[in-house]
Amino acid sequence: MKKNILLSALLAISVSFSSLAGGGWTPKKKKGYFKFGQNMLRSNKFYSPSGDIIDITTISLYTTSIYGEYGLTDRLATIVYAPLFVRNTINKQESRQTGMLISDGDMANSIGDLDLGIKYALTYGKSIALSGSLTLGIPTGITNGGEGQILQTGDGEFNQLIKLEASKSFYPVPLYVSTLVGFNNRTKGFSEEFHFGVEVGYTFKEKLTTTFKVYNVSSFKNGEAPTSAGNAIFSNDTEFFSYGPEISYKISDKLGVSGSAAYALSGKRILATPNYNLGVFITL
Amino acid sequence: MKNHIIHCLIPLLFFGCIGTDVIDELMLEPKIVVDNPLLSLKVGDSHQFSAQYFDSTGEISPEEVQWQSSDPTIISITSQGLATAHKDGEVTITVSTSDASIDILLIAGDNTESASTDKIGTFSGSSGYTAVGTATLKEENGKITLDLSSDFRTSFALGTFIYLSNSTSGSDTRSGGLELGEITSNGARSFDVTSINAATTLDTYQYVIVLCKPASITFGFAELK
Repeated sequence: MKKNILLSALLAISVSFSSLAGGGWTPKKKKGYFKFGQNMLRSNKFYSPSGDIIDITTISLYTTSIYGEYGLTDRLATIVYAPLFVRNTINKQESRQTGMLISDGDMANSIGDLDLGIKYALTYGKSIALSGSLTLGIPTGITNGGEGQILQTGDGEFNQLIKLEASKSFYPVPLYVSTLVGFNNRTKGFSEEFHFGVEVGYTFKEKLTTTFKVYNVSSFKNGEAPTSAGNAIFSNDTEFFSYGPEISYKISDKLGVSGSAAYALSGKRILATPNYNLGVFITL
Repeated sequence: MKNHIIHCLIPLLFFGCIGTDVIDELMLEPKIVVDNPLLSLKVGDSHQFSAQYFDSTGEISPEEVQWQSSDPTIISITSQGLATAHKDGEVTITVSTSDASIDILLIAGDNTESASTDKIGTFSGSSGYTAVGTATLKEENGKITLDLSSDFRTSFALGTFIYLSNSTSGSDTRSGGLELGEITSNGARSFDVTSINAATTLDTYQYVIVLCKPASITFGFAELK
């Protein structure tokens, strides 16, 4: 069993930005938030298992996705993160001195791993909005893509992420803070994970919201490391601490655009590069 | 070409093309390798040494080498590398070119003994990855083989390969090393180096590398000595 946790971690970063979208708040009944996003990662730097940044062949991951939260009731919402198209590439290499091809590049295209979840408001109408959620990671991506069968658009395992999120608005000051803690139960011998995130946002003139987010994933290192997959780049126990800004602008009451960037300040077995996201969102 | 650009530009709005990494090829210190070294030479006997010069690209180059004895009264040596032992003692034979040299300690005594040419290295992990065990590069009947010991153990990824290289850098190894083969399990393994590249000698490469080939990451290496 050889799994590409690297890519799943990259996907996890992508998800993490959306996952704080509602924070502790849930949309009211028949209300919702939907975002069409494009995510890009491209790096020739990598956090090794010791946490050092090392050079690698440039690896890229482009994800086109839809994220949505929709209120079934005033307290219960469904969550969907659907990476409709994931493109994973690895660069070709050429000699600077001779111009000769050293190695071919490769690519894999497919749908990514689908996340389906429910979120329930544990408090309603309180100053601090508290919610709990369960997200199921469905392994709909591929794990042996490209001509070399080494590229992946998913991690190949079914996971269950339980999160507790709390949010507070400081209205009339247009400021809010959201936090989350989460436990990700993973299958196929992968280690469980602890998730932690904080998000602070401020809205200017009711249209422009600037947000700063941090997100951390720590491994419990309790997975059975298969002898054939060992402790390597495509293996278990990926960890990172990322931070970054997001700006969103509401074009109208229902339509807006957003852009974000995040960088893993520290990590293990993950690309060391900014992760960029552009999106268009609608609110019902 | 035009079609390729159009093909790439349209999806670039959302999806990127496969790019190109331009790699600087490794430049090495030139070196001299003696093919048939001795530990000792019997007094009264002669031995014809031969040596090869490796240039900064790691290739064998027909550079003329100079031979010199630290004490010709004990062991003398001609400009062509023919050494003769005259009396008991110990000398240093210096082999040199304009930009490289090597010293060989040689004893004149009761017998002639060849020095082992086997190259042995002990693996150590790199950047938090695991690599343990030993690698032995040896020549038998004109064939060079690399043996990994039975206790050899390493980290694995999709595409883990054994390389011979003159650098521990993953990208240098990928561009300038000799790929011996993929490994998918731990334990003993033997590679027929000569069948992969007949020009390889015991001294062409300095390291055995465990490489995650797709990402050019060195999991571990053994320096051959």
